[in-house]
Amino acid sequence: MINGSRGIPFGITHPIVGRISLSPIETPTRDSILLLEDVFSPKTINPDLAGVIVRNRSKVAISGPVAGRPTLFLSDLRLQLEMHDIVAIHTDGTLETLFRPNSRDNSLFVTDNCNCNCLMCSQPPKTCNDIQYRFAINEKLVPLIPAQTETLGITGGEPTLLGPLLSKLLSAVKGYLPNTEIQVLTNARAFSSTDAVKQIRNVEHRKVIFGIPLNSDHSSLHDYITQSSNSFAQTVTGIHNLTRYDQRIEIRVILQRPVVRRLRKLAEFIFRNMPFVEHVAFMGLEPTGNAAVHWGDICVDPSSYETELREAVELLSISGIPVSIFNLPNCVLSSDLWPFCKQSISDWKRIYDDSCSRCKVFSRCGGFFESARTIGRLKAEPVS
Amino acid sequence: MRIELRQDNLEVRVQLQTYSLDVLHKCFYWYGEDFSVDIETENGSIGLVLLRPKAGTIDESLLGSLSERIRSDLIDFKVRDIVTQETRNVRDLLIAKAFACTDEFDTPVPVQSTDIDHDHC
Amino acid sequence: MSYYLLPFRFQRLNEKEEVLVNEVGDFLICSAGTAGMVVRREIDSTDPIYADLLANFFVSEKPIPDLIDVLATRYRTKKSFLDSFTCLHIFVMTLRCNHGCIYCQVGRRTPEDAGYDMSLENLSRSIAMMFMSPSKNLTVEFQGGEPLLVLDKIKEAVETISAANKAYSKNVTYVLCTNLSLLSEEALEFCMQYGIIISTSLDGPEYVHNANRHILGINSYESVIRGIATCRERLGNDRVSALMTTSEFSLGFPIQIVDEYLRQGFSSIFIRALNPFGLARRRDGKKSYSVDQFLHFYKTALLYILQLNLQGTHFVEEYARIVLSKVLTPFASGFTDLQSPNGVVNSVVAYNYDGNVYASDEARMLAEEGDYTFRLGHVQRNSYAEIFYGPKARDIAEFWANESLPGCSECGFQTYCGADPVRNYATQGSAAGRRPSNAFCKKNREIIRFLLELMSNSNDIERVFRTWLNPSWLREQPVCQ
Repeated sequence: MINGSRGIPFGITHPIVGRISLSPIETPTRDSILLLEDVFSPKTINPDLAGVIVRNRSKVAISGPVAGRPTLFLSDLRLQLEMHDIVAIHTDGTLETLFRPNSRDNSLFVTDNCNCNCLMCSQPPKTCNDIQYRFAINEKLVPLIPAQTETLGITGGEPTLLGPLLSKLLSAVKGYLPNTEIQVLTNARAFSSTDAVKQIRNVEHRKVIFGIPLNSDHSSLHDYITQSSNSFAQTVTGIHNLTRYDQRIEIRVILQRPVVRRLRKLAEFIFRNMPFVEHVAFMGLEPTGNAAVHWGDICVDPSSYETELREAVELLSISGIPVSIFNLPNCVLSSDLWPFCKQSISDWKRIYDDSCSRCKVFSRCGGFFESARTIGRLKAEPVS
Repeated sequence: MRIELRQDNLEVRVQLQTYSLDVLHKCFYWYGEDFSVDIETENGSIGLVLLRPKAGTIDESLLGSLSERIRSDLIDFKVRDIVTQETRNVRDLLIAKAFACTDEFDTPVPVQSTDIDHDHC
Repeated sequence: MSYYLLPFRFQRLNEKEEVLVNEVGDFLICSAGTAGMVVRREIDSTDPIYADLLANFFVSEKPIPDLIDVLATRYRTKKSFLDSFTCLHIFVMTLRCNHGCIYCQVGRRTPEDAGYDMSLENLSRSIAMMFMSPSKNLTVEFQGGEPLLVLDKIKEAVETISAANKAYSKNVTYVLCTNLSLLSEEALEFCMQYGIIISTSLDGPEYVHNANRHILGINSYESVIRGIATCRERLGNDRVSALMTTSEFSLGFPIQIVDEYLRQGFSSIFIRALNPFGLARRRDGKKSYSVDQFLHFYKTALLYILQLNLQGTHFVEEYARIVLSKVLTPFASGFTDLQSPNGVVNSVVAYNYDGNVYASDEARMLAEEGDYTFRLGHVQRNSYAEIFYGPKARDIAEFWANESLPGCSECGFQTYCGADPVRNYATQGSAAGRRPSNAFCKKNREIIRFLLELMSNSNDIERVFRTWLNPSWLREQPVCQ
């Protein structure tokens, strides 16, 4: 959920999902939500418009909807909204940006619930009854997403908590976006049941990859990180079952203090037990959510694990498994690891230090997490 | 365990309760290139291994290192025997699963009700 | 809380170290006596090695480990070479040969001898039988004598196979084993047309090669070097490979032999000992050198090769690579000699010029000496079922898996090694063999121990070994060897 903002709703009886249209640049359609930059009535308004958002710059008192259409009055003027962004307006007046065509990091958010509570979770789970609600929103969202979208995530919380709705969602995505690469972020625990996997297989979506976190090569350490017993056994079994039914897999290893000493052994474990995985990503910590709460236990300076990381990356790479390093700026790693670094931090939370403009490798560096600023971790060292 | 040199024979005596005949056979199989090996029981509870060198005789000076080697080998083969006994069932199960053709041999991974509970505050 | 044991074996590496190996080949090198400590429950969950024991499936916290299905999949993967069944089909097209190699195992005849070429009837029946294999990949290997003496028959064979394959759509790879002295334009064009891979013999520098391999009136070394160059030029570098055989004379020149392969532009060498068959046996009545002598030669060459790698030259020793693929990867090995069950029948079969079918090349060599123990049948007189699943095959099956052989059943290196009933029979008189004096056992035990010890002592060497296993390099190798 990004850029949540709250305004005053009029005539919004059920959640509205629509594409932002800026008057008078184009003719709105019934999937459009017209964005007005101030309170005024345009001469004509398409009566089929899904809704209207009004930025109340003049701060006038408002009494009712614009032209009889469902309307949201926003006084938060900082909110960035651009043409063709897809948003949801909830009945309580919250405005949620669901999709930004100018971003490479869009996801379908499916639930806040999770069956783990990982120490480093950047988006800690909430217990709530949101699965049906979010499914309905996504059902409206998917048809509006441009067909030429290259990549789209499915995230939460834990997407497998949707049960059969997950394959239903994947079917919809396959139908409307057949050429879009889909990445589902999941702990795969539910896939320790082959029935759950078969449902996914039956969708026959050829462009789905499952991104699955693995913390260690044995249960006590992995389960300590997920704060959930049996999670290691279920996740590894889930990974195997997914492969049995022809699904693609990426393993994600979040680099945190309890796990870094065993990185090389984890790499060996991955190669020996799941050599079929398509990709392994070693990921720097995002200091937000649970990670911020547990920062003292899990934070670790990349320079202190560089040797272990290098050994792990090298082992997988030599063995033929593609490897990447995510979420770490180039300056914290030695240059032999740079070829593996990817610009992975989502654009809406990526920042650079002022000194970065002097850096020789600025253009290919993935930068820092915005949240790193607040926790005092923005230690840039420009490369000369 | 007693290891004694009697004329040309090295005599190794063990408690069969500690080192079974299986263990003795597997251990002293490897001595068969350099020695003639006989394995017998004495009084029902003692295992007796007779080693006669195929070439030459056993030097007193070599007795020490040979005894060491025998003791160490016996322990190793005893350890192997324990592993074989303790893991027989798991191994059979593993191989049966490996060559089974259907899902019905899958072992469900334990799922407690708390695993997918929403009880974290 | 105490733990449960999972199936594993162990073996001493040296004074200080032993290696634990589990049922699927995962290993832990640790101090001597660790296996005993594990078994006596002297390891505590706070010991650093405990996590390693769990992660590598040596112990479990439950009587049936949670990941048992994953282990089962890995076991099946290790034995997956069984899925395809016979994939290497050796066609012995003729016994006639124009060379006189001191270690010849073929029972060769002179080029003038009549009656030692494969007839067209036997050829067509052998081809038909080959296509009955369930394997999707077939490697057709033409051997002899010298196959280029019967180029017409080779062409006939390839054309017949190629035409028949339209109905089966298998991936067929052709390999021609030749000394290259009779390489003609006609042969080259034909090889080009069908993508045939050339496998030739290069024993080392000229003085070693010519000492081992004689041909009247011709310098064998010069002829093979010329032939290699021509084949590379016309067929492509990746279509030419060479094998060496170690004679007693070769034993003095490990480094020079490696250097020769380097000089000739090869990126690997397969250091092969003499097989105890054919002339190699008859010449002396016993093996012409001891296992220890071969091991000394092998290790010298291997250490030299490692030095080259550490200095930046990528050069592989093939036998080590095969063993290492079993140690360092979860995959099955395609090398028939080190499979359990052994590759005889399961992976390889030899169709002799006279129509007899043998369990392997070595089995055929025994027959040349009058011993038909491992003859499976005859292409004209027996059906596929009688040959591949008949009583002979089943007799061999008693002894082709090291899991159940005396000495092997609890050996720590079992997963990395194999069984060789034909060699056991030839050298010791029984297909089961007797391990303490068995040359195959001594050789493999020491090579495996040596490789593990090298890795334990040096991360750099382990890294080099892993580069030898890189899949993109492996892709260049033929499927079945």
